[in-house]
Amino acid sequence: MKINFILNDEELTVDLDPLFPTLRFLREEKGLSSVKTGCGEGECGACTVILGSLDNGKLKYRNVASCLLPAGELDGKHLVTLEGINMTELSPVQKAFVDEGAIQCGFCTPGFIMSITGFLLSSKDLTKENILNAIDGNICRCTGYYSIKRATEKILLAAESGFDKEDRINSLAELSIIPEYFGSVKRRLNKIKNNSEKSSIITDPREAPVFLAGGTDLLVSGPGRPGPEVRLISDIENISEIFEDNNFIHVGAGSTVEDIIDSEILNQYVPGISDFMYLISSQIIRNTATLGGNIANASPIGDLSVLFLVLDAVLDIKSENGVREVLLRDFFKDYKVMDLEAGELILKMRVPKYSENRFFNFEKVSRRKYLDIASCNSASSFCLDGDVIKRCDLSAGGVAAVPLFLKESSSYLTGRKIGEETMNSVIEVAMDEISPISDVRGSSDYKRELLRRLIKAHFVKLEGWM
Amino acid sequence: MNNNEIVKHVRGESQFIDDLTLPHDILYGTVLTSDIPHGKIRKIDLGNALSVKGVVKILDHHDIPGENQIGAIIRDEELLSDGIVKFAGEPILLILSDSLDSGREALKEIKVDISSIPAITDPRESFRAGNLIVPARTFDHGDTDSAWAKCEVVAEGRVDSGGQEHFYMETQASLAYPVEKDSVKILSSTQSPTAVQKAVSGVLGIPMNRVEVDVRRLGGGFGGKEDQATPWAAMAALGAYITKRPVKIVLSRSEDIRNTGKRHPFSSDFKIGLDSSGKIVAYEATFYQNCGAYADLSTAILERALFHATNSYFIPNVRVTGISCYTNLPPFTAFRGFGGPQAMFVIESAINKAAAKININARKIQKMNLLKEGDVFPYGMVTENCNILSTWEKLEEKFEIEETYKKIDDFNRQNDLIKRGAAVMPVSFGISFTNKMLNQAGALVHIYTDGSVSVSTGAVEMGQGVNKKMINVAAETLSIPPSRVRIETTNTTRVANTSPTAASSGADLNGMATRSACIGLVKRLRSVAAEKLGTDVEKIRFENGKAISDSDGKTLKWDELIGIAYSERVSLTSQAFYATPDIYFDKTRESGKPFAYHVFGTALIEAELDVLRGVYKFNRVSIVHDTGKSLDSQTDLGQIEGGFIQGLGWVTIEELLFEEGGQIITGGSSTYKVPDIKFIPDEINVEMMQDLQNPYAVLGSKAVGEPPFMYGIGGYFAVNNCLLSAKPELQPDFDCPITPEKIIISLM
Repeated sequence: MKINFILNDEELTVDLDPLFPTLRFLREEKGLSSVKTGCGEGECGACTVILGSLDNGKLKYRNVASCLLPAGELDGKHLVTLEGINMTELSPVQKAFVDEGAIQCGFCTPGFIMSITGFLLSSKDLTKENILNAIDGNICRCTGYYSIKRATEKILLAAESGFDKEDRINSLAELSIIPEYFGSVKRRLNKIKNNSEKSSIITDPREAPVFLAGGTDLLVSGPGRPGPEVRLISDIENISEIFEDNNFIHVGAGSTVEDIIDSEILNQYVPGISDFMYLISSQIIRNTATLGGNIANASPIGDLSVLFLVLDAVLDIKSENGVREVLLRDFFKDYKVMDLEAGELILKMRVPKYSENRFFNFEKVSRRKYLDIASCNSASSFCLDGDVIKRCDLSAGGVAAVPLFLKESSSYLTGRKIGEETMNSVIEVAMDEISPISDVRGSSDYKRELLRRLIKAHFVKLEGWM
Repeated sequence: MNNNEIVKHVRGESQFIDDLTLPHDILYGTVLTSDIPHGKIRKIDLGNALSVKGVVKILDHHDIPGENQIGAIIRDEELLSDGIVKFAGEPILLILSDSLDSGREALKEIKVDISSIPAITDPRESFRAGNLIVPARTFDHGDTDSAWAKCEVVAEGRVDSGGQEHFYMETQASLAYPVEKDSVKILSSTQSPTAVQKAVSGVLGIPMNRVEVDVRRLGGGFGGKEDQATPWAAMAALGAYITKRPVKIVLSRSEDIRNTGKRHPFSSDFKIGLDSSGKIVAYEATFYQNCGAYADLSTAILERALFHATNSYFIPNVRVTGISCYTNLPPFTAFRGFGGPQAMFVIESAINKAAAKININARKIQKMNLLKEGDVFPYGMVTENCNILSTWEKLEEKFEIEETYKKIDDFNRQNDLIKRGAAVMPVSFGISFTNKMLNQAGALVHIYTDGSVSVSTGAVEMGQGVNKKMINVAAETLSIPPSRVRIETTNTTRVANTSPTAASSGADLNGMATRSACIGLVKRLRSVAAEKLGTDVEKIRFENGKAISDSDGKTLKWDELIGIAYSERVSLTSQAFYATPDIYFDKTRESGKPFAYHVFGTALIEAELDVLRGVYKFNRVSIVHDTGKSLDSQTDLGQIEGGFIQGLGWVTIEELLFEEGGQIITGGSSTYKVPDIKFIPDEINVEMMQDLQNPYAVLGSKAVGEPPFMYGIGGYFAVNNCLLSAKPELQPDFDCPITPEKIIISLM
């Protein structure tokens, strides 16, 4: 595949397998060795790069793990490595690291500098919380996190005066956080973008392709292709759009977890959803991992699947015969078996808009709180009439072969009064619905007990909400 | 301040082995390892591996020209297996190919038929089977047997601590070049250049002077590249020697986790006895050390565990036994603390159990039994400059230990779903290699004619800041700005017979050698200056890059002085050697003075448990640490904070799991979790006690690398105390790490 993009300050056309990892391209073919190979699984952040793309005429940047970034995704984009940030003098980000001694062995350092620079290029607000979120996927095994934290505080101070969100790129260049050439990138990308062609979604079903969204799961499995033919979906029109109509919130399958965090509509109808999203992986992964990918991966512990199971979500699935709809809770059939034929693509998910007041909660327990896969997760949605449950939907992950909608438990709760008795009995109902197995995430006994407790946690939070 | 290194790091311009530009004829080494934890190789079928495009050669043990042996202390480890494999991940074949991808493709072609032999993973089972590396060792001090009668309370129990993956960010890496026809040069990510040199010399059957090992920097080591870097370097060298082409071997993360050794898991039994006042009268412990398939450094690690069996406490009657047990797991190895953390976890568990029995807080027993000046360790060493109580008292004064516990009690009375807990963790850690021989170092210092200074030592920079410290030592001794000094790579042709950079001793030993080399230069330069300034040698002093005559205040600038010295044909090169004095140990009596000195410190750790979900976080940690006169405060602060967090990881979320059959379960970065930035305690306070100059290390400083790791152990007990508040009747096992799963199981 011919890929046209800007690498740092240089326009490039390369001919690469669209699945070739960007990390390897950068290191092996371009000799850009600031981008380090730490784990190859998107788990350490040593290979963090910044990716700029045009979105409705606006140039937007995000941090991504280059080890999981397929080269095909570079088309029409601006790819930035630390070599493309370096100026004659150190940037205030680099200087803060030096001044605070926020460096021990130095192997993770370029990744941190990139994540923080990317944060300044993209964050809604320059807050302490947001800057930590931006480096939540960067591992420092010398565990020099305190000096790194002190450096971030200095960086926020340095960026405070002179930073202009409306004129972000110029103001960052003015502050010497990024080089001047960033000012010309938008214009240059516009020219490139026009060159690339979009391909059609529908392919011959006899050679059904594997659709690849963010690649944060399929590309982890290491070298080798997920299928004979792989189709990147990111250039499909509106694939990552989030919008509302009278009845539904439409969430494009290509919406990333960060898109969900940023979505005002979703936050309005699913209160607290952003906070729950921070429990999912790290920002460099959330920036590419998609809703559609998480669902189509059908992991029994998939956070997004478990979360949307309680929201009556509907999937719009496209094939050459048109678009059909499937309820999310009917979609998962067995371990990694879905109601999805070869050649079919999940286009989007629709979440019905509730008019009534609703309590929604998501729980997740993992060995490490952030950037880890759950031992067990669970979501709940309650509609109440006084202290009577009009309707409740419960789901659980990690306790069955599929992300599980707890059908019996949910219907058991309908019409019952909130209270300890109801809670204790629904837990017993739930215990009969699940069949956890022992694995690296925990023993089956543990997962059973954990789900009991997570259901309790829903009730505890519900009572606090009432 | 010389920030050269650090500036390169923030610009991404510092190079690690995998970053180096490669010669056109480079070969990549891919290692085929055993899938089976224990077995006999019946047949190796290369399939079409040799026809895979780009594959140049596939080597097995027959291709080794020298000896197929890399064991450093005990010669029990082959480079490439010649028949029996003892862990899943043991190297069998080395594939050499001109691209990385063809090597991996060839790997898939090869079938190794191995007939399984039952595998043992539990050290106690291995002990029962008599599968030991060396006979058990016992430190016996006082009269433990008759002491039990004097005890008011006796507590016994079992303690387990898990392994720990180093997860150095840079995986094992080496690049070997053939040099002419008969020699090799190896760039290795090793903490032990000489160990690599020696092993390669043996494997290739050539003398050590034909093997050059060069190390610029490591992307983290933590002990994991002390011995475990050797096989990969030796394989690269073997490939280069045979093919006469350069060979690079860099492990992928999953290969690295699966194939290399980690911190030893320990399983231990203890018995502790206290008198009615809470004084510890007697202590017994047996450590079953899970050594994995090969000895590696296990026996040395066990020895350090024995030395630290009583941590910071004076106990008159002690009997501790250590048993090094072979199992069919990767060869466990050095990891920050080197057995010390495992042993300290046992005594702290014992104290906690005894405290629970008599219903007083463990901190009372801890404090009452702290070492005092002149107290004797169970191995006969007398404490000197004993600071442990001062660090505890300073902690109490600055960070209010008693007040903290009171606040926690109040909080816990009012809350059921959240419980808080605290623990105090004193640490006394002995500094010196316990193997006396290794306590030596060399330095080579050149002054070039432009006045710039080049320093080579045996120390390897791996993030611990030894280079910065060496710069500071040289600059201070030569009275010039640090910016004039450059630290060279660690290279066996410049500094020979290096000890590993380990045991926290890198700056101590190499700093002394560097200082001594610089003093030699100053002495020569003083004569030159005296001659030039027309005064006596005693009247010359050096300050701020100048030689000053105290007779008349006349000065001579450094650069000028160097120019004169050169033209006067004065040597501007100095080599020096250092060996730690007055240390000895008699293994037949298990008694002596194995350490130059001890590092002391105390930490207070505060945790908070979400009782419903079984998850916890750390609210605050306060540490008072005895640094001596720090060679570089920022570096030492980084070591204290970083070491503590690494220790906290070990006792909490870092869970290394193996199947009973010996296969690793947590074999990747998605299953083995190390601390991330959101894991660290919300607040940290570190107080460095700098007022006491340490007479036994360079410029009054103290070693700092390992001791802070052990403050992390307090995290275990802080969480355990939360758990006990939630369920007071609980009799918890002492089993680290204390994962959410274990907490929930305890609460069930």
